[in-house]
Amino acid sequence: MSIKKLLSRLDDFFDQSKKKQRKKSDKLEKIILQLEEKKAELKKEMKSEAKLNKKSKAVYDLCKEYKVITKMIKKAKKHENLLVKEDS
Amino acid sequence: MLKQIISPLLFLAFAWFIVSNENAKTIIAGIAIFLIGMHYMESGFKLFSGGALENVLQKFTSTTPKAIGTGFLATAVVQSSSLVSVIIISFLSAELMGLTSAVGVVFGSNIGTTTTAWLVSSLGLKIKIAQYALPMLIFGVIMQFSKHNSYKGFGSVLIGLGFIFLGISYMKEGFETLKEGLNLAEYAMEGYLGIFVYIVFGAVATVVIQSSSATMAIIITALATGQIDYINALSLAIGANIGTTVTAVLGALASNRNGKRLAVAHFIFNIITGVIAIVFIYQLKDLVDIIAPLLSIAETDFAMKLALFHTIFNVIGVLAVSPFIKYMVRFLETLFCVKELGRGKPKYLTDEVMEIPASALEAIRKETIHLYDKSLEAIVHAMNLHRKEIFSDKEVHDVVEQSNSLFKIDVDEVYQKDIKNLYSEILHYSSRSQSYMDEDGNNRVYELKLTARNIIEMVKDVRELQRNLNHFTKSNNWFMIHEYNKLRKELVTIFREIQVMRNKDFVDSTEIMTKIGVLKEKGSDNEVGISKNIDMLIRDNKIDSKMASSLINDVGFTYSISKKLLKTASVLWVKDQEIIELGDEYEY
Repeated sequence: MSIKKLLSRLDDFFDQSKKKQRKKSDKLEKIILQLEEKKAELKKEMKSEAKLNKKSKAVYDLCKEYKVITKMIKKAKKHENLLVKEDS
Repeated sequence: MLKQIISPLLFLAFAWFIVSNENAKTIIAGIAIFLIGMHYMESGFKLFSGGALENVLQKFTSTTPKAIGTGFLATAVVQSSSLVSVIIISFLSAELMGLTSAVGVVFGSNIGTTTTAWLVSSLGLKIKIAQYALPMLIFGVIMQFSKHNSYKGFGSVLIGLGFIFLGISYMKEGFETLKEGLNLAEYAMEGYLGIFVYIVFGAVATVVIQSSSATMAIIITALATGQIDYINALSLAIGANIGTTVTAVLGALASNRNGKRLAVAHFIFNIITGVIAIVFIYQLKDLVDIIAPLLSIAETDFAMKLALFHTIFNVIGVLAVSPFIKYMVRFLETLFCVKELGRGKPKYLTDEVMEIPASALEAIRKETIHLYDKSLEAIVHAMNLHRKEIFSDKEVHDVVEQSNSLFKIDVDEVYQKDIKNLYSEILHYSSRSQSYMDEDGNNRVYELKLTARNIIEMVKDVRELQRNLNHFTKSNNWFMIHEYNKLRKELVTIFREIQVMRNKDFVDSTEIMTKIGVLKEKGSDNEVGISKNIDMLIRDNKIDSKMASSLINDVGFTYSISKKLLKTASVLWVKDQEIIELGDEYEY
C-alpha cells in the first residue's frame, strides 16, 4: 500500500465529518419514514372526517397538519439528497 | 514581604540541590517528564475523543453501579481523574447530571486511578520502556501537524504516553544509581510508627507534586529498585490517596458549589478509605498475598503487589461507602447553597462549564430559557394577563375576557433591570465558549444567540403593543376592545401550547415540530382574517382611520411576537437538530 493511500485511509479514520454525515443521513431516513406513516394516517382521518362535515374545525386542523407534514417530508428528502451527493 | 524573600531562596536551594546531586536530578527530571506526559495525555484525550468521553459520562451514569463503572473505565482509559472531574463538575453545573451520579463517578474514578500503578509496575518496569517512548514522541509530534483535531489529539496522547514512559525510565535509572551510593531502605521503619511516618511522607509528596499518579510512579520505581521496604511502600500508597484529597480541596476552592461539593465527597471517601486501609493494613497485605498468585504475580514482585494493594483498598473503600451515597448526597446538598440571585444575573453560565462543549451548550440553552421566562413574565404582564391564568385549565376566551384591569408594569424598567444584563451575559459567554467548540457546536451556539435576540425583540415589540392596548382597553369603542382581545387570545394560545411542549419531555421532536408548524400555519391564516376584519370595520365606520392604523401596526407586533415565540420554542425544546432544520421551512 502506498503512503498516499495509507494517509488517506488514516484521514478517513480520523475524519469525523463523514461519519457524522452518514449518521445524519440515517437519522433523516428514519424521520422521513416516521413522517410518511403519520401522513398516511392523517389522510385516512381526513377522509373519514370530511365525510361527516367538510367544513368542520377538525378537518381544518387535520388539513393544516397534513400540509405541515408534507412540507417537512419534502425538506427532509431535499436534505437527504444533499447529504448523499456530498458523500459520493 | 517574607514570602517574597523565602520563595526565591527556596527555589535557589532547590536548584542547587538538583545541580549538585546527579541522582536526585535524574529522579526529579523523571517526575517532571512524567507530569508533562500526564498533561499531554489529558489534553490529547480531550481533542481525540471529540466529545465521546462526555457522551459516555453523560449516558452511562443513570444508576450508582453504572456511574461507578463508568467513572472507573473513563479514568482508566484517559489516565486522568482530574479530566473526569472537570467534565463531571461541568455536567453538574449545567444540570446534565445529578449529584448522586457525579459522586458515583468520583468513586469509580478513584479505582480508575489505580490503573496507573498497574501500568507502571507491569509495562514500566518489566520492559525497556524508553525504547518505545522515543518512536511515540516522534509520531506524536508528526501528528501534531495535522489539520484534524482527532489526529492532533491522538498525537498528543502518543506524546503523553512517550513522556510517561520516559519519565518512568528516568526515575528507575535515578533510583538504581542512587542505590549505589545511598540505600534508602536502611531508613525503613517498622510497626505502626513507620506506617504513620510513611503515610505522612506519601501525603506530603502528593500535595507537593499535585498528582497521586506521579507519587505512585515514584513509590513503585523506588520499591522495584529496592530503595524502600514493601510495608513502607504500602503506607506511602495510602498517604498518596490521602494527599490527593488536599489537591482536590485546593482545586475546588476556586470552583463553583458543585466543584466544592464533589471535593467534599472525594475528601470523605478518601479519608474513610484511608482509615480502613491503615487499620487493616496487615490484613490487606495478607489478602494481597492470597490474590497475587491467582493473577500470576510472583511472590517477590512487590511492585505489582503494591499495585494490587492500591486497587484492593480503593475497591474496599467504594464497597464501604457506596451504600451511604444517598445520605452523603443529602448532606452535600446542604453545603454551599446559593444565595438569592441578583436581578439580571445568570444562573447557569459558569466558567467550569465553558471548556466542555456539551455542558456549555446546555448551560447556554438553559440560560436562554431563563431569559425566556423572565421576558415572558414581562410580556404577559404588559398584556394585562397573569401567567397563572394562562397556564390554567380555563378557556382561552375566559382568560382574556376576564382580564381587563391594567397592570402597572414599566416594560422598559423590567428590560433594563432583569433582561438586558442577562442577554449581555449570554452573548458574552457564548462568544467565549465558541472557541472550544467544533463547527456543529458553533452553529448551535449561533442559533441560541439568535434565539436570545428574538426574545429581546419580543420584549421590544410588546412595549409598543402595550401603549395602544392600554389606551383602547379603556376606550368606549367595543370593536377596538374586541380586536385587541383577539390579539391577546392569539398570544395566550401560543403561550399555552409552548408550555405544554416544554413540559412534555416524552413527546418526540417530530411531534413538537409538527405542532409548531401547525401553529404557524394557523397564525398565518388568522393574521389574514384579522386584517380583513379591520378593512370591514373601516368600511362600516366602526373604527376611524387613527384607530385602524394603530390596530394594523399592533397586528404586526402581535404576529411578530407569535412567530418569534414559535421559533424560540423550536430552538429551545426540539432536541434533534435535523428536525429543527426541517421546521425552518415555515419562516415567513
